[in-house]
Amino acid sequence: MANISLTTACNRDCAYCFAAAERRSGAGHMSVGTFQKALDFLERSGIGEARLLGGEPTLHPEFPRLVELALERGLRVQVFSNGVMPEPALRCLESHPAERVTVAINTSPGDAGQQEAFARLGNRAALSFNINTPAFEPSLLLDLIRQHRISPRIRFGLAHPAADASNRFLHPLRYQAVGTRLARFLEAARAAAVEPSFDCGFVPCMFPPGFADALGPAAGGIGSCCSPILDILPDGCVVSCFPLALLAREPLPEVENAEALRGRFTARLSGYRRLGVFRECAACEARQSGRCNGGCLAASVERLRGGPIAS
Amino acid sequence: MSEYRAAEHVRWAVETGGVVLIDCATGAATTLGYPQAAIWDFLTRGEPDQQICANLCAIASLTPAAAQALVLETVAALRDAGLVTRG
Repeated sequence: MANISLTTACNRDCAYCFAAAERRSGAGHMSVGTFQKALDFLERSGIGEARLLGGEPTLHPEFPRLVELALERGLRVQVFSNGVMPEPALRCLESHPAERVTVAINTSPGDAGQQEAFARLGNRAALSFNINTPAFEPSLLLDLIRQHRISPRIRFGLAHPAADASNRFLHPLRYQAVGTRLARFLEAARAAAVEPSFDCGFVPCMFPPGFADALGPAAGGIGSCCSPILDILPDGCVVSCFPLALLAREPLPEVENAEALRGRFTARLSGYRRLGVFRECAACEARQSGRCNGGCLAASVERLRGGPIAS
Repeated sequence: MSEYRAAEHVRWAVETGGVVLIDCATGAATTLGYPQAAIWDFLTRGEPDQQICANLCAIASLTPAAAQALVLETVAALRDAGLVTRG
């Protein structure tokens, strides 16, 4: 996988946004030429899906055209949006079937601004929820799915530290409280035929015993899904991911594929990988046996003392 | 105060059983177990060499001569690895 960040513009100001540092850099919108190069990169990497994000990707002035360009190449398109999008973008997304275009709507329950997108996108839309505090109520997400008949899937993400740690990220000391809440939610989700999935950074020790078995195949990524993702930025640079932008950043390669770039980033970050999000990680059996990679590298780097990491 | 301090490009994290030092210039990691991790801790807090030795005697049950030898040896290894600099 690799993400293409179309723009640093956003119509929200979420306190937990881990792209905050990049957004402040003011890189603006990705040019069509850079987007084409990004698509070339996906194609020669054997990646069949263009994952479009931002900022708020639908604010790119040529968003509908960019979606069409990706579809013309036979790629599936997945858009990561806050659900508050301009009419041309919404019209474009609803004109394609869910087999070609899906939209992960990063939601805050009770957010009236997203209602129209839910209503019009139907099963093209699925919920995405970033957790920045243990005090969240996931059952409200089930109400949204019922109400709008959107896809019965919820992607949970942890709010990781931004590159400059200026965002309201979820501190690992709160992971266990989050894990307990999610485990309690699993039963209600299953009863509603809703399938939760877990993005990068979740670690096995944050959940109560037996959770992984109850979750089934979706538990496979917990503790192990940082490959890294690769985020292609509007200015044509590629970073390991937004939170690690200061540590692993290169211009989009002209010839190499994602595997080569990922290998180089992994090598560059391997020393940091020695850390884990907790001081206990070094002695943990799950870590030593490879069942857990120590969690989010950006959260691990936050443990370092001696001053900020220089760019 | 010790004549050595952490090199500009080095950051560190305390772990169960030691300290991990990261050379941010290269991304390389070095692990120090105890009591060397304690020497690193005292050194980065700006403790004088004499105080570091006295602390080591207390926490690692070493004789003053053994503590001094260990401090010298550890600091020399850190210096050779570019992890501490004079100053």
